[in-house]
Amino acid sequence: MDNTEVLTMIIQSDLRELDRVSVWLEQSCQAAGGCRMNETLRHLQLACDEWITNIISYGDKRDGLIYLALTHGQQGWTLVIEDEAAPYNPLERGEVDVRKNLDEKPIGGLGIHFIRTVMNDLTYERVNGRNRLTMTKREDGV
Amino acid sequence: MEIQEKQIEHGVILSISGRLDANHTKPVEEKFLQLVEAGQKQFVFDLSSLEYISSAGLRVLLLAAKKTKAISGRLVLASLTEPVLEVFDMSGFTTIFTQYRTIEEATAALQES
Repeated sequence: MDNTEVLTMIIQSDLRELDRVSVWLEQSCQAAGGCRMNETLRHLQLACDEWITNIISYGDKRDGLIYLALTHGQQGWTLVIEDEAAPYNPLERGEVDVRKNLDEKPIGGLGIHFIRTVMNDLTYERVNGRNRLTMTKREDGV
Repeated sequence: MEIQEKQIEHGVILSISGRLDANHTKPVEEKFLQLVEAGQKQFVFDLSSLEYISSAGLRVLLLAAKKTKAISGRLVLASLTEPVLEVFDMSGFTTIFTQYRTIEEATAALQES
């Protein structure tokens, strides 16, 4: 698979779709000759899961659709996720402090922190009434 | 995701396997609260077959830790897999939970209290 081939999937705004997304990512990875490292697939899974969960849990469009597109190129993987909820830019969110103890531990914000940690580049745009988050994972594991 | 429950002398072992993402956290939370309701105070969470955990999964473990603290109980984790450990490290959760490499060690820790 080269850069011109894009694997796509459309899901409902429903947490039960997470299983299907996980299988889709794994199969897409295999179709592209397999992720060079298990770690790459794992990080794609985590970033994808966290962002979709965020959209479904906090977005205001319960009946909206979520659009996924995965591309594999020489540089690595690019995952684009679009949703129809109100504008929300996760990159404007401050970093969470992960050093807190049990009583102070923040419940929210960890998902975005994970996405920032496992992906190499993140871009947010508001396009045609949709939020579009573009996440890139370089395959050299950097 | 599957949960198995095993009563032991000083508490209960909850084995959580598969994927613990936002879609699968509810049964874990319900099972845990049910056991607390029934008077259980000491827990081993056996994570040896847990392949994946997200922030939603961590949230449930955190709630369980807080609840256990509130009832002066004890909660320990056993046999974390590599992918799960990685997520724990990213979250800063590693220092919050008492962890053991094997179920046997974790079980022994309950007997000590």
